Amino acid sequence: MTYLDDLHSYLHHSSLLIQAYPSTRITTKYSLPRKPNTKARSKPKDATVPTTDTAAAASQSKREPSAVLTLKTYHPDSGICLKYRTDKAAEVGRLLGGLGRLAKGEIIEMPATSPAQIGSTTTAAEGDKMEVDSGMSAPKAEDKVVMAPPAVTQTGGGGGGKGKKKKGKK
Amino acid sequence: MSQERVSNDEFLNRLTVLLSSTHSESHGSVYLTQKPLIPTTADSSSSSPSPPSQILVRATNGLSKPHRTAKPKSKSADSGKPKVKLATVVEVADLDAFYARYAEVCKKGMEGLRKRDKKKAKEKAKAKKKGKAATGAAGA
Repeated sequence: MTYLDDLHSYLHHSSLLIQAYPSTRITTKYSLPRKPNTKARSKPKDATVPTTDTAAAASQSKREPSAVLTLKTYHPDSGICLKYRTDKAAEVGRLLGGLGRLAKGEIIEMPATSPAQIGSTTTAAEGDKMEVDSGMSAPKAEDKVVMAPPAVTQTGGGGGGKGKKKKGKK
Repeated sequence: MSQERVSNDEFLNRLTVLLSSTHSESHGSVYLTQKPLIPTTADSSSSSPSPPSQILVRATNGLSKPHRTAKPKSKSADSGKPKVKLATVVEVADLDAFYARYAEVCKKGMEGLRKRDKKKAKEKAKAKKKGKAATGAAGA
């Protein structure tokens, strides 16, 4: 079970998997947040608050819970599973466009503008900078560090990533 | 075993209802699955990599069938919501048209997702300017 951290790399890898195994299925799960538990909320929550030291994490948790869209590309025979999770309404259109192309069995290439950061531990730091510069995706620096281990599928995306990144920086 | 398959239009209509009813409950999930429909006859030995001619699209709210929820307690907790399960078969020729409408249904139905945050975008733009100035100074 691998979570990919950007939509294009998810679509790209899924397209490769579908090409290799046409019986691959894609599940999109739209899940609403749990009902706010009124009992739990009445408790004094001051005890836990001061422990949050990273500003990003604090602001993330303070926002009201939103629905989450989880995509899963799964090939039952081999057990290969690719996942992507998002909560952005803006991505739904792009996502379904991608799913349509995947349904047709098209190969989705990594676009030149988006950062190709799959399985590249060395470019993780650069990736953070990149996000600030391009302002394309949400701040998910913590995720990236976690996601640094190489993805399931091997592609040439990592190699070509460097040149593409420079392009995006302008 | 075969499941009831509805027409594409019917599927989209019922998916709209499913999404809105899930929202009105303010709780629950909707699962959408797509996979190529590979004919089982005479195709079991040679798994040809040629693109399939039909795509099976399913939608469900992920609940159990009524007879599987044995305890009446759990039923009341789920407020007796029935399982909803839809399936449709889309011809490859109709894929573009179907997915355009499917995307519209999903965009409208998935209201719980985060909208684009304009305040944050502004902050980001500021940070971008600052960052660029800093790197420029460092480079010079």
